[in-house]
Amino acid sequence: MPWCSGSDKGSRMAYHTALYLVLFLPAVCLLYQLAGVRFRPWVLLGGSLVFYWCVSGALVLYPLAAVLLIHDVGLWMEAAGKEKDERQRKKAFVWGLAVLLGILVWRKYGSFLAANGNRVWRLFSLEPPFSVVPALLPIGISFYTLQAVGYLGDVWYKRIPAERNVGRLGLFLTFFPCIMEGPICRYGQTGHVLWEGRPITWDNLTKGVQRIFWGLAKKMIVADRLNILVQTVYGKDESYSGVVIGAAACCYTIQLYMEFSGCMDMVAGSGEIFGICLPENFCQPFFSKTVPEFWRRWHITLGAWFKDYMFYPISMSPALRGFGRRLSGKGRRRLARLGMSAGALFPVWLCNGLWHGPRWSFLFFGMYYFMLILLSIGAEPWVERWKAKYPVMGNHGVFAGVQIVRTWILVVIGELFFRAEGLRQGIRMFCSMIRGWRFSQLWDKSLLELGLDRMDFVVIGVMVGAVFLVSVLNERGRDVRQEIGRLPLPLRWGVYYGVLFGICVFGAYGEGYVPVDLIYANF
Amino acid sequence: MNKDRVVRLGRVAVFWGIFVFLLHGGSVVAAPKSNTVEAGMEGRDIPSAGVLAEPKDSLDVIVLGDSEGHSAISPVVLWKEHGISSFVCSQSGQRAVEAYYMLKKVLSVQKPKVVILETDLFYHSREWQREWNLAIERTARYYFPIVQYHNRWKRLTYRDWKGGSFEGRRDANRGFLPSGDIRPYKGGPYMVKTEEKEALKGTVTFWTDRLVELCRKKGIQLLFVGTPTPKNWDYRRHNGVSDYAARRKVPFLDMNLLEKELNIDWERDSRDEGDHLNTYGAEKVSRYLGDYLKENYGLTSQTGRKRPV
Repeated sequence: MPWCSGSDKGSRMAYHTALYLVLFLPAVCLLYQLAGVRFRPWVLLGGSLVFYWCVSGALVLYPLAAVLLIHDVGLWMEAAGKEKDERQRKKAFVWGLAVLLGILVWRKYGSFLAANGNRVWRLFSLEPPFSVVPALLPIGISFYTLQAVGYLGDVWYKRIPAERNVGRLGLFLTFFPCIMEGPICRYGQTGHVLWEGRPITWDNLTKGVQRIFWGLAKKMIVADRLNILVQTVYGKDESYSGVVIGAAACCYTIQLYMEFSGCMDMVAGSGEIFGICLPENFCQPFFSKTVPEFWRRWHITLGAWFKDYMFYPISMSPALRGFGRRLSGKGRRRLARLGMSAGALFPVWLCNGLWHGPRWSFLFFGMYYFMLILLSIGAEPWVERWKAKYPVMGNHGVFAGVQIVRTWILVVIGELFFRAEGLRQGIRMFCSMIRGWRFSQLWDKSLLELGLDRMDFVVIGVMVGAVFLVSVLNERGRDVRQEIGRLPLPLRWGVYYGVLFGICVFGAYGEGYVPVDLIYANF
Repeated sequence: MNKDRVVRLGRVAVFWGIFVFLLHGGSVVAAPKSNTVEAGMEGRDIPSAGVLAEPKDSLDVIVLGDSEGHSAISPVVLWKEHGISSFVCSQSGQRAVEAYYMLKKVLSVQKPKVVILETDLFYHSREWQREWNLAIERTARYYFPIVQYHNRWKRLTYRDWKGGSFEGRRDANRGFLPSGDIRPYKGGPYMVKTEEKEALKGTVTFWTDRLVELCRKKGIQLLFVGTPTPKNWDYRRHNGVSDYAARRKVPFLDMNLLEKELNIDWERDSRDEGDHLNTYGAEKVSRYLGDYLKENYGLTSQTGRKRPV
């Protein structure tokens, strides 16, 4: 029910829609269970291709082409490796990467590059040479391309053997719960599990369904409701200033977290039904004391991918190590560490920013975190010295609280730019927030004129409180679902009915609400 | 089947049974208790919901369809000039799925002899995934009105909690939306004969088939009517609906081909340049339709029903 609306902007196939939850997923489950073990992976593959076709139509050819490409390149690399022909192996690897990344750049960044190329031309008073035609983007191209590159990287580093079964690779790259928003899986982790054709067990089914509804509650009750406020402020930011803009940035941060983590719950729940444990993308990110820690807890699979396939290879590259050695030799060990970190982190955060889309504000977003992380690395010796001098302060709960709040503030500022339509809007909003800051806006009802009333804030507060409680328990290593499962039946069912009824009654769907598409599906 | 599995299935049935019961209870509370904005009803539903306030079994003709229906067919004219009691249950942008559930709702209080389905609704269809999402939601809305009116939780009154019954307000125009605006259509003839067809989409025929079936089951005569609308109609659409109507053995009266018989004056009879008729146009259409119904379905004011107007 969350799910759809009579408005013309109603959603197509996506994890939160009725089409997926009421028709597609149950149909795939039924076919999967009815099929023999040998055929179950093919049911999943067929279902994944149907899902992709529903979302992107004929563009399903792109992931299919990527599957064939990495299949052949993987085998080529392996064959060259067996013949000890390193040149051939390298050639295959580079060729595979070039094609995968070339297609990504062409489809996703082509018009951005053309528009900016034209700007440069205009600087010299020349006629712009490039035509800017936004290309149709195959859904999830940024996700499956990283998975495909990861697969080639793993074969290159000989972490895994090349896969011979093209169907298995196809399912790995197009598995329908992951194709829209990730998580970005590694072939070594999920490739074989996906192909096992495990039966749907009672336990997996109930756990999967529970997780799907929990994710739906986060998206429908909080994220989609907050979208009204965020849309109001970002849609006409010139009319607002100070606390209102700060509140919109805060609300967007909560919206993004609830939406993305909610979607990940739906994705993980869908996988769980088939007995497939997908990697987690979130680990209570808002309990982070530092920005680097935040990024280890937020969109974990993206961060891990960049760490393994970019940061480490660049850090270990002869050029960077030589540079570090030269600086260390001159007795500037600290500077060498900082320089080496900057050298490896810069491309990582440049790509991280751009991965989200072809926009200057995303680029700024990446550079913002690059600077923050570099600062934290640079300041580390002083912080350590300070902690050694005041050990009590360093371990005090209040200090930890201050660190957490500081991280929140930095993250919210980052998200302010992230949500902006362009860098110009981001800067304008940031300046307007600082210049027009008046605490009185907190109680002069300014915040109640943004499309949400008091009761909306109460509903949001209750649901955020519930998510916070679950996060605290998770942080303490407790399995909330298992603990709910151990409750006496009336209490347990009470919790389940609470979530189901919460979605039906307090979900922001139907008349008066604009259906909100999945945010990360656009990346 | 072993005992464990039986217990487990039983538990699932009880769990979802209780949930359905709760949803039903919630629906009783959330559903508006009258067809007014103050009572929480959506503006689009208010005129058509007036049908629930009509005396039981008092209507001979029910009109379903999109805004063309409530702009072109006037029950007041049908009654005054032909003695036919009718109600227009059209809604702006009504889809086939909505027409189907609207008819089901109407049949709980009325036993009409004829159901008219305005055919512009057949081409009110977006891409199939959005239509299926909509269809699932509309189905949920029909069985559990809380899905539609969930947002009323902020404004529930004591009467809502008491679960008071629906006390609808009768609509003076019986669902017809009169308009005296005049904005002429100047596009000239629009029904240019062709063999081409604009086929109906699967999501439309799926629900229309159900509607046809429902009428047959209840012994109701179904009639497809296309009211004049140069902006939305052409011969390709006429052929598409004719083809479908022939396959389902439903009579189809396309008034777009009857400009002369209707005496439509596009300088005067449209309120928005040929998209919808105004009251002048509606009078002509209703008069013709009344004659047609009397002639073909034997409907008169002497049908023995209570006088509805």
